[in-house]
Parts: sequence; C-alpha cells; structure tokens
Amino acid sequence: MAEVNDRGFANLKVPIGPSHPALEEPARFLFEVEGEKVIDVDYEIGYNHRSIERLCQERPFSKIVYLVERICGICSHAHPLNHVERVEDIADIEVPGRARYIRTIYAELERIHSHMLWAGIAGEEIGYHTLFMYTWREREKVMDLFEMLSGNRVMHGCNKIGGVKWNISDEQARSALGVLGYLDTTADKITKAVLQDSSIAERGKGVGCLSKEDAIRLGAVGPNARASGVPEDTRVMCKYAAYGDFDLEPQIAKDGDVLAQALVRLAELKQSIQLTKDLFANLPDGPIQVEYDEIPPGRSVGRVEAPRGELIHYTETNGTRFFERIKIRAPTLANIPSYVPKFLGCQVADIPIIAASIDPCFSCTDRLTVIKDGKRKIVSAQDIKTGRI
Amino acid sequence: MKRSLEDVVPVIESSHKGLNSYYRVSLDDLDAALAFLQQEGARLGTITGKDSRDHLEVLYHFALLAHLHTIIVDLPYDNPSVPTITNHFVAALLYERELIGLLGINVIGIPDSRPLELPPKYSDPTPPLRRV
Repeated sequence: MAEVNDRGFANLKVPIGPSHPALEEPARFLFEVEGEKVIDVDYEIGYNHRSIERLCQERPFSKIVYLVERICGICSHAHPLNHVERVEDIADIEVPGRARYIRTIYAELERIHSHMLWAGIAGEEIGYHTLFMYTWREREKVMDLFEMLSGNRVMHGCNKIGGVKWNISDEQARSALGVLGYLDTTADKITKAVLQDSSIAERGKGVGCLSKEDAIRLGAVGPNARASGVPEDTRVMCKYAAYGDFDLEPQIAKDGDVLAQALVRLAELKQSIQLTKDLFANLPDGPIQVEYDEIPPGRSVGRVEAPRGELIHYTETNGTRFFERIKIRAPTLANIPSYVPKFLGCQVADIPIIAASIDPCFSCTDRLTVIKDGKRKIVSAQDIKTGRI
Repeated sequence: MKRSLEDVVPVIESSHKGLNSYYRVSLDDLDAALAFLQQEGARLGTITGKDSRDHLEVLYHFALLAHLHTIIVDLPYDNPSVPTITNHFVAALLYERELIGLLGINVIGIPDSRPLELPPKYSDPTPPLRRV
C-alpha cells in the first residue's frame, strides 16, 4: 500500500521510458502524481549517446561532414550546414551565391518536412489519427523532392567545405515549384483543420504552458520559445547562408501551450514554402563550389536555425588534418529544461502530447551505436575512448 | 554591448572575428564577467569543455542578438574545478552536467551533479573527451 500524504493522496511515482509508446525517442521521465495531476518530474537522457564529438577528433577532416550529417535523420542538413559554415569562417572561404541559395533551399525543405512530421506526431498523440495519416502522406512529397534533388531522401550529402555538391537544373527547379504549390494548399488544409477542430483546441489550449519569462530563463529555443512569445529566429538574426537576401519575420504566439506550438509551426510551414519558392525563383547563376587550400588554426562558433530551433556548433582547428574540438549543442538539449514547467500541474493523459510538443530529438541531443554489420555490438568505455565504434 | 567586457573585467586575451568575440579571463574574474553578461541581457548558448593537452579549458558561449561572446577559462589538470554558473544562468545545468561526465571537470555548487550522457555503469576513470 502506498503511503498517503497530508493532502490525502497516495505518493505515487510513474516512470515513463526510456522505451515507451508515448515517447518518440528514448528518454526516461519519472513523474510524481497526485491522482491524475503531475506534481513533480525528473528526466534522464543519454540512451542514444554515440560519442560523435569524440569521433570528430579521431577522424580526418574529409569525413566529418558525413559524420555530423548522421547525428540526426531530420536535421541531416542543419548539422553539416553549420559545420561547413564554421570551417569556412575559420579559413575565410567565400561561398558562391548559387551554393548559398542551394544550401538554403535544402534547409527550408528540411523545415517543411520536419514540421509536417511534427504535426502528424502531435495528431497521433492526441488520438487524431486522420491528421497523422494525412500529414505523413503529404510529407512524402517533400521526401520525393529531396530524392529528385540529391538522390537521397534522408542523407542528402549536399554540403561540402566551399559550397555544395549537387547543382539544381532548370527542369528540377520547375518541378520543385509545382510540388511547392501543392504543399502550399496542403499547409492551408492542415492549418484550417487545427484552427477549426474543437477536439484539437480542447487537447491543446492551456495544456503544457510555458511562460515567456520561463522560456527566457530556461534557455528555450526555436518554435518552443517562439510559441511563448520570444521573437528569436536565428535565420533572421544571423542571416547565414542566403537568409540575408530575404525579409523574414519570426513567427510567434503568446500562449506557450500545445496549441500555440502547433500554430507557430504551421505559420513557419507556410513561411518556409513561400521562401523556398522565392529561392528557386531567384537562384543565381554561377559556380556551386570553390577550391580551398589548407584550413588554418582557428576557432568559430555559430548558429543555424534547425527545424527544432537554434543549433550551435563550436569548431576549433589546429592546422593538422584533424579537428581540435567540435562541440554540438542540439536544440532539444536547450529545450529539455522547459519540460518542468510544462509538466507541472498537467493531467497524466496530457503527458504524451506535452512530451511531443517541443519536438524532441534525443539522437541529436545524446549523440552509442550498437548495430554493426547487422549484429548487435556492446560498446565499451574503451571503444568510446578510441573511437572504435 | 554598450560597454565592452574588457572595460569591466581584466581580460587576459581577446579576439574578435565577424559575429564572434572571445575573451580569456582568470577563474577569479569569471563571476564578474558572467554578472556583466547577465546584466547586458545575454542568453547562455552552451558550454564547451576542451582538453588542450596540457590543461583543460571551459568555454561559455553567450548569445547577444546576432553576436556570440565566448568566455574562456583555463583549468589545471590537477584541479579541474569551476564554480557553477547556475546562479546567473539556470539553463547552464545540463551543460555543466556534460562537463562532469565527458571531461571530468568538478563543478562546485552544481544543484544536480549526475553525469548527463554516460551510462550509470560507465566505470573508466578517464572521461571520454580527455586526450590522456
């Protein structure tokens, strides 16, 4: 029999995860509940740790672009984009305009499919399976577009130091503009469904709230912070790649609840579709890469706006063919502390949608591969140290 | 920043390039530097720990609009300790837990000192990001 506290409730702790149907990815939450109400929460991450930062110090320069691309299947462009921009900053490499535009096109297509994926997961978490099936079907159009442009749906291999690898032909651009027109209509339909459906409003309004003060205090980033009224968007502030050529406004909401998160992402979906159309329409002529000599010793820290928020890479070179240090701060790590105010006081039934609301990615955040040649391999401490994974 | 960090805190070494500024300060001046950045409205981006072969470094990256200001402190191998900065920036907790687990840096006064990413049974005495 559980003990009863002075308010007449049993002291119950509910563990969720690391593997649980309510979680997209492995993390462990320990909820303390009074009846159906959550009164405390603790979290534990690290179930996906793959030692990528260590591997970045053990592998030669040329392999790191491929390695950082594999940090996350959704942000498979944001990580290498930030990485090559850091190296180019250190070596003062001027990237051609066409390459900057192509990088931005991939970055925005990534945001479009990520936000559509999130909308589907959010629908699934609240039992709205139609939304899940619809958005994930339509998201395939973006994946097909990626396949047309790069030959791959997930790992695009687009970035290289000094530019991009894949050019975009006029025929590809025309075809892409047709798909983007279709996606524009799709985004309108999803937005209409979210705004008009009373069950979505009831499951999202006032659920998992994060105040603007808490968002700033806890260092929240991306749509998670913007849904609480923090007008920060790295694309607007830092104007990396080709973002400086376009007028963008951060998409914000003020309520900080699940519904606000949805509205911010849907507004960004529309914004990204329009921006991608503009990018294709204004694609400059010219080369897509420049040659470079050696990478001098130096350091650079910078940010890109991954679909889930601000992604920071710190890169330090030492004049050899190995990096001195690469540090990666994925947006989910910055957003995890905001779980606490979101969960406190919530109903147990709302835990899955609140957990999904920040669009967590623990592959990015943890960064232990245990599958090799199709066989399970237990990674030892020595393996991590030597990089033999 | 209206005032420069160098006007407020003794800076051992500084460099500036594009949107990045780096300031190396002594451990004794770290708190004053952080208090200044907090006052200026800076947001903690992340914390990087680094093994520089003969000593350890901790780099605190702060975002102030488009600019990133990095405060660097050097730590000796024989006493790799830094005070927690959660008194200034609550968001530092997870990044400081990374420093403990991956680099074996002692963060004095941290409210939760559990290593963040490593498995509980990780028993190697040398942290994974140490070079020796």
